[in-house]
Amino acid sequence: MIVAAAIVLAILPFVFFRGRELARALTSELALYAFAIGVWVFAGTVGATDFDPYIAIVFVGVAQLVLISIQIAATQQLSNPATRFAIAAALVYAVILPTQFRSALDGDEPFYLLVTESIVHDHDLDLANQYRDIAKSDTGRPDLVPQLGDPTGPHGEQYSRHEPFLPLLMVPGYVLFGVPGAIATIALFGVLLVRSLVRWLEDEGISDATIRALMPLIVFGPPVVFYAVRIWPEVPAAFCFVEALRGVRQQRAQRWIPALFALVMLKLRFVLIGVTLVPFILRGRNRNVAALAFAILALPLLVVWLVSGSATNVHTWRELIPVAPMLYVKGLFGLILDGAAGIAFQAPLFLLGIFALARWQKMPEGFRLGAIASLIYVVTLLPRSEWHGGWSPPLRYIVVFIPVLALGAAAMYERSKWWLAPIAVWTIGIAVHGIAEPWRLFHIANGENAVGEWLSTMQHSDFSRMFPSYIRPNYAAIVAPAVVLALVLLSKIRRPEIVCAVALALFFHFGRLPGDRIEFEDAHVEENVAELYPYEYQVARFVYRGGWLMKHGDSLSFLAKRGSYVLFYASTQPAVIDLGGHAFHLDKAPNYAMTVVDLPDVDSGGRVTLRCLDGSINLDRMDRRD
Amino acid sequence: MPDRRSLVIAVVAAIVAALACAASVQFATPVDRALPFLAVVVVVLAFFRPAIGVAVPVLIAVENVIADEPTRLLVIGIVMAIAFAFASGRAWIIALLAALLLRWIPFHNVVIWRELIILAGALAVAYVMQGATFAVLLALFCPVWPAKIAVMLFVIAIIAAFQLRRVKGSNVVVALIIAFFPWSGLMARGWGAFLRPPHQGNRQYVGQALKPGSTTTIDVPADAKAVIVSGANVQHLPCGTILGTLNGNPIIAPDWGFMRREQFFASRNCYPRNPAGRIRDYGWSAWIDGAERIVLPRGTRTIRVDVNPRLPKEATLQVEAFE
Repeated sequence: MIVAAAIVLAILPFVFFRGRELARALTSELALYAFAIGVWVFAGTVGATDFDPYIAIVFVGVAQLVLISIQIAATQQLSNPATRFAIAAALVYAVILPTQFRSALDGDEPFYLLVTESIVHDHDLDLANQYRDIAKSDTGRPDLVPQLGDPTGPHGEQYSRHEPFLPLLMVPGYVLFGVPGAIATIALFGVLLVRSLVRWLEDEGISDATIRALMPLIVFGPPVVFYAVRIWPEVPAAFCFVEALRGVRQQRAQRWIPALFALVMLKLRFVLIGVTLVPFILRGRNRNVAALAFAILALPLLVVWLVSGSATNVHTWRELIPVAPMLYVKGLFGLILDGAAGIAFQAPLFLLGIFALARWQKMPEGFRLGAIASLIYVVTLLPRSEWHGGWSPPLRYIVVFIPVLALGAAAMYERSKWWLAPIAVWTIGIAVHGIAEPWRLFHIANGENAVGEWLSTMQHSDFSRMFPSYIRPNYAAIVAPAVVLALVLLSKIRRPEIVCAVALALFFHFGRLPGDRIEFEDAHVEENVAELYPYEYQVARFVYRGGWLMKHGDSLSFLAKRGSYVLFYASTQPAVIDLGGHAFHLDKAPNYAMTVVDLPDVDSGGRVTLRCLDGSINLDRMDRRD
Repeated sequence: MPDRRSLVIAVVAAIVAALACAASVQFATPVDRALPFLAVVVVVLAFFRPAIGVAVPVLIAVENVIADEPTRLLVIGIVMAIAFAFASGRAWIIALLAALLLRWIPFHNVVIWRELIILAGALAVAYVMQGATFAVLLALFCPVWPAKIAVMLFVIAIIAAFQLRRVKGSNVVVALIIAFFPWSGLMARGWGAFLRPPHQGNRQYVGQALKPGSTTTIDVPADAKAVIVSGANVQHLPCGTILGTLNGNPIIAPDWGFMRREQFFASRNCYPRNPAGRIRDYGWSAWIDGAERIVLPRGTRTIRVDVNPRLPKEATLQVEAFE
């Protein structure tokens, strides 16, 4: 695989450069390899062996991509960039695809593949026999069972809640090459997305220099790169969306009809995008076009009704009715700023696309059209408890809007280009992380993110609280909007990296200090024997409270400040705990209850031990009162 | 020429970056403590190519997240190397920064007047050649003991630089050298370590220093497979000098401290063939002790060491340990 990757990376410069530039690119590649080998040899000499060789190799591969990207940005002219970037995407995705097999298919992926298997082998959508013989399935998931609420038939048929269009698209790839072929189908859509996106950016008047500077981050960066090599409908949907937008803008029915059809067929929720797009399609059109557009929107409802017996499948119309305003606020800020599922931390380039909304009048018309088309979908998504995507790689529900955000980011580039280097460094980090350890793309929605968890475990201090969480709202979530506002005001600052350096220094300083809230299930809490509640892979775990289930003799250790705390707990019987050397008798509390506990003397390091002396208790969190 | 506003911004940025880095120092090695200085170097490089400035937050992150010392220092070196790889601007500035990085850490070991000679020479070479590569190589390898040699070398180098003006340098070479600045002394004086890295096993220390003509017999511990020896006050002896015999076989070992920066230029010793030393100190002061490993034949129960009586009288053969 390493050799294949090296060959592909060696081919890549030929896609973009000729003559001297090609020679320079190839020399740079060789220089990087020489540098890497030199470092490798020297690392052995000085005893620097505390790193994962696999991650180091992935890092070198990504560094090669970075070098080529820098040269692409620096080149004076690049003819036909759409095709070149598409070829580059094809090559890179072909290299990244096998890396994802380090972990089994996860989330919705095995279910999509199971439907494909059923179509290929049984020519139907009934998965009952597939579940019975799950060991023979190519999903590699012998533990797979139907998802909660999956439709069933009158004769014991078992259907998937997932729309069959994506599995249908994967059939040729699967028949030819098995699971890699099925995933390659999605990667092919990723390539098409890249080509269409460059074309669209050109159509909307984005300069060649901006396209050359930003496209590598979009093509090879998150979230596109991760969704392009896994089985999710998001990347095909993004391709269909951008094609639909291009079709509408160009008033070309032969472009928007198939694009809109495929988009709504991929996932029922994408009908909401289609519904918003239709008025723009119909402007000044005849009745036939209107009828066609509505027929396209109705088709997925019909298909879903035929499969599941309900036009809305596992959803209800009630989900479209506005609910509590606070949920919208939480979802909106969460999608933008959440440490685990927000654009700012998972694909920071596209934050520029959000900022572009503030300059609505000056944005390209395509951006405005795309933003309006996204409106109903986003408004419906925000109050959902699963706005963060659930068990999936980050940004699942908004990958479809990446083309629009990319156009916004491109339009904002000239104003914000000083921020590109810090954004690029963060993006490189995410890319290396996701390629080297694909299983980490999935993270339980517990309010922590991978970096926070990692630092907390390493430093034995609560670093997770430094990242804003709207899944489990924390203080950082309140501060984060103000920080973003400051960033908007500082968008023209010439030295953003120094701002980042100061922020990082403060981050590490305060991260090592005890916080005012101790979430007991967080990574910084060192547990001894206690049992996690609910268990890690509980469906919709994010709707539960809880942390550790402690019995007599179990203990937790964490950093805390001196003072008075409110302890949130549940217990089916009275319990006694020892907190920092003081015993507390807790009443029975079948539902979650609060009680005040004092920590009058904490040692200088701030480490406190909580022991269960009697009974059993479910500990949620502890909030400081003063 | 940069305008005054850019200069002021750069100075403020350098101060802020240095303060942020100073607040982030977590470890006590001279390289870690030099983090504010590294930040200033980065900000100066970023003056000509702003994107390089992103190395400052990366340095802070590295300092805070990598606990293993060699790995952390190597990664700091790589970050600085990447900054230099993309550096543009005046060659003499790059040469100056590189020379400071390579030779002025740890600062407490710097003999300022001697180092100023090297710095001036490196700047002159960079200025003449309009490139930093040759100057950086000279800055790395030039000894400061004795100072006369340093001066002479640089005079020759400057003259040579006029002849070599058409030779193009490479940022990659500079970057590769900078990557190892936390152990630049090793780069300068311990090239053999790249081919034969030193390693140490579990040791049972003996700690005997034997004078010329003396003999000793030592019981070999049950699980020992090798004996570790080195010389003392033998740095002037030529490479391959037999210091004594071990069960009749010749012992060839360098002086224990021949790789120290003060001793190296005057020494005639060679890097051990089976090195058992340890990397000591940091930056340009880094060196490896000259311990040599002699593998014992299987089943050896005792060793008899005879020290060469022809060695200078101040010389000793040190039997350090069994492995």
